[in-house]
Order: sequence, then C-alpha cells, then structure tokens
Amino acid sequence: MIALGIETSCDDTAASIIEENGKILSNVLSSQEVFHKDFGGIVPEIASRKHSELIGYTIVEALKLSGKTMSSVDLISVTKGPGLVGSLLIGIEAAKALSFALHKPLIGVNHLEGHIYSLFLDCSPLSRVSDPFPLLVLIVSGGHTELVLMRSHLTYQVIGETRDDAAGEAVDKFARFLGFGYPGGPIVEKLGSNGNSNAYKFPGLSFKDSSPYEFSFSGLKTAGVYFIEKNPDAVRENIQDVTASFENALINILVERTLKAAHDFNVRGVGVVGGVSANERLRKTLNAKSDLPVYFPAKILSTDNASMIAFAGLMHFKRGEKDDLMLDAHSRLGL
Amino acid sequence: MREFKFTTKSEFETFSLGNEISSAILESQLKNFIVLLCGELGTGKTTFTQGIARGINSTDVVQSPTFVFLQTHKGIVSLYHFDLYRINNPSELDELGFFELIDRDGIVVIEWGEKVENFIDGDMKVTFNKLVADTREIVVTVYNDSIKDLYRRRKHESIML
Repeated sequence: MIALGIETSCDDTAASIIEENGKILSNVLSSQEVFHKDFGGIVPEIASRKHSELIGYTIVEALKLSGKTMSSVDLISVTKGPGLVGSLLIGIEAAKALSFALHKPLIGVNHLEGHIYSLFLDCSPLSRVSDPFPLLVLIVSGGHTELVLMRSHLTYQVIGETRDDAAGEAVDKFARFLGFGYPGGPIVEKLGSNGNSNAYKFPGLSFKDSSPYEFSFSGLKTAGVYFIEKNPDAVRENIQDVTASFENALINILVERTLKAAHDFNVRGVGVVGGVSANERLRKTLNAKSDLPVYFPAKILSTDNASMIAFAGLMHFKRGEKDDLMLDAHSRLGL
Repeated sequence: MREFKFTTKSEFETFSLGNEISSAILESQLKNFIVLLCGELGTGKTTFTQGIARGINSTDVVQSPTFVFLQTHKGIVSLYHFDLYRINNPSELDELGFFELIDRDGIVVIEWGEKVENFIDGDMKVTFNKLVADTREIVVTVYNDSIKDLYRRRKHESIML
C-alpha cells in the first residue's frame, strides 16, 4: 500500500510518498534549497497563498522522487488542522481534487497527531518497540508545547500545555532580540553548543497556581529580553555562555515537567516530537535524566513534514476510517 | 481621539485592564472593533489579550499566535487574535488575506500593530511601555467615539470590587 501525504498547515508546503510500514520513499519540503533552485525564487517566511503556487509542484516532485505514479497511490492523507485556515484549505482542496478525479480514498489528519506519528515511521527507533504503551509524548515546536498521554495507538489525552508562548517561540524571540534571523532556535543552539550553560541564571517556571504539567515560557522570554538589555557586555563578550544558559533554562522546564508527568502516569517510555525535538541539548539532557527510554524522530522529521501526515492517515485508514469531499479545515483543532 | 494612561504593576493587573477594556468594547455594540497593540517583546500584549478573551466569556487558553498568525476564540462575540511578529513585508499581509480577515464581525486584536498602523483604521491603539521590572505604562488611544470614558469605567469597576 502506498500513501501520499500533503501538509500545508503553516509555512512549508510539503508532500511525501510512504509505504504501508512507514518507509519513506520521498519527503519534499518547499523550503528546501534544492526546491528553491528548481522553482527559481525565495519563498517568504509567512505567506499562505504561496502554498497555492507551490502545492502542485510539490506533489509532482514527491511522486517523481519516489519513483511512483499517482495511479499507484492507494490513499491521500492531508492535514486538516490546527493551523491557518487559508493555508490548510490549499492542501485540503488539492487532496480532494485528486481524490475525486482519481477515485482514491481521502483522509484528514490532525497536524499534532502527525507529529506524534513521526515517532512510528520506519526510520524511528520506536517503530521497532513491540508494545510502547502507555507512552508520554511531548510535542514541542514554535507553535505548540503540550504533553500527551497515549494508552494505545490513535488515542490521546492532553495532560498539559503552555498557557502562553510555545517553547520554540520563546527561543526565536530571544534570538531575534539578539539580532539573529528566523528561526532563531537553530542559531541559539549552534552558538551555545560550546558555551557554559550555568554561566548565567535565567528563571524557571514562576507561577504557582498551575497544574504540575502546564508550561509557561513568557516569563523566561521576558527575562531573556531584560538580560540582553541590561548586560550588553555579556552579550558582546560571552554570547556562547548567554545562549547556552538561556537554552538550558528552557530545556530544564521542558525536562522537569515531562519527567514528572512520565513518573506520575507510570508510562513505559517518553517520545519527543516537533521542531524543538531536533535540539541536541534537549536530546542529551532528557536521555541523561530519564530512567525510561526516550524516543526522538530522525531530525529531518522533527520539523513539519508530510511523511508523518501520510503515516497517521494510513493508521486511521487501516481501521476503516475515511473522509469524504466535505472534509474541512479547522484552525483550532485539538487532539 | 482620546488618550487614557494606565500603570499596571503585575501581569494580573495587565490582564484585568484587558478585561475591563473588553467590556467597554462590548458596551459600544460595534459590530467590528479593531484594537492595535504596540510595544516591545515581553511588555504584556498577549496577557492583555487574555484579559480581552475573558471579557467576552471565552474559556479558551489564549496562547500566543506568533507562529500561526491568527487564533480565533468564540465568546459573546468572536475574538480574532492576530500576531504580526513574523511579518517582514506588508506584501505578506496580502498573501495571508489579512485585510479580508480583519473585516469580520467581532473584536480584532492585532499584536505588533505598529506594522499595519499606516494601512488600516483601528478603533483603538494600546501602547505598552516597560517602566521597571513588572511595571508597565499602558496608553490607550481611542479613535472611536462609541467608546465611553475608560477612566470612569475603571473607578466604577473598583467600587464594584
């Protein structure tokens, strides 16, 4: 069985072809440099209508790289939310058109569920664990920070989320305030990789009335901005230590909350997905502090991609589920 | 044009001010009300918007829409919460359909409103200035005559409390 995945929920237009077991045959992102060369232009940072220019090209490219043709595709999986409705609709309408014209089954996938299923793709270590449940998954990116408990495949209980900024957003804004471009996470990571992460003190969680699994990064972000304003010398002379310390404070919040939840819910393992899951310091810290096995997707699959959407769709389809042409976008879709 | 100055000493006070202003907007009975929020990182724009959301009786957790650009919340009226942080060029707003989106019925709150001040007619502008530590000066400029005196409203509210 072959599945086509389409993802347009945010900045990237993405398409992928996978096999039934989660083996990736192609994984195309419109932000990839190769793609730009072919397309002959730079895609703006945020511009949903660009999706409509790129979507056809992206799907054709995914098919070409996989060596498959559209007629050999058995299922079309597409992100239905959460995200910007205007962006989501472009992927959804393309998927519907293909489904209608070629008589292929269609399935709408929750973007967050897609991220979770990046852990189960064939190239991820978790795909070789026979019974990983109950599993705790931390979804952490520029737009999301939440803890999800899975007791079996395709069942989710959100046990905590951020009450203000997402973790990746706090790092991006800190980086932008330092004068770096977007996304700032990878820049901060690179600068801080050889820095002393205990050189400067940044605050942890400051609120008292929260649930033990809730996150907040707005306080840390503000503290980071103050620090940069008040300590120009440190920023100029010790940028490596400054970035390492900030990143470390953020990661400690993530790790502390995640491991507390993992302990309280007595899970068998912890998965981490989303853009920030590519961060090496997060990977190392969590592995060092956890008694349980910790699973990450391949780094290229940490950020938004269509392979994860294709695979989550396949999981639903194998249970007999599918959508019809009434499929619609949902901006605030939860798990 | 009228200007109202407030000083808040904590996140909660910024939240409360948002909440009060939300009520003032609802009282005006205007179908579409655009609020521009201006100010640096970490000055309380999202916290203020959380107060507005509470004012329309939304039970949603109001997270920062920086990444997704727009978050919609349903309540007594709809709240469209935009964040233009990642917009670098006004042409991107066109690509996103921004100018059509802000025309809807409800309260439209736009973080980083500085970036669109010259292109759209806001009904209110709220500027956040950091004084010291947790203290903020919040200047509310009202362009729409349907909004009552915000100071009087504030006094009234504190008597009620």
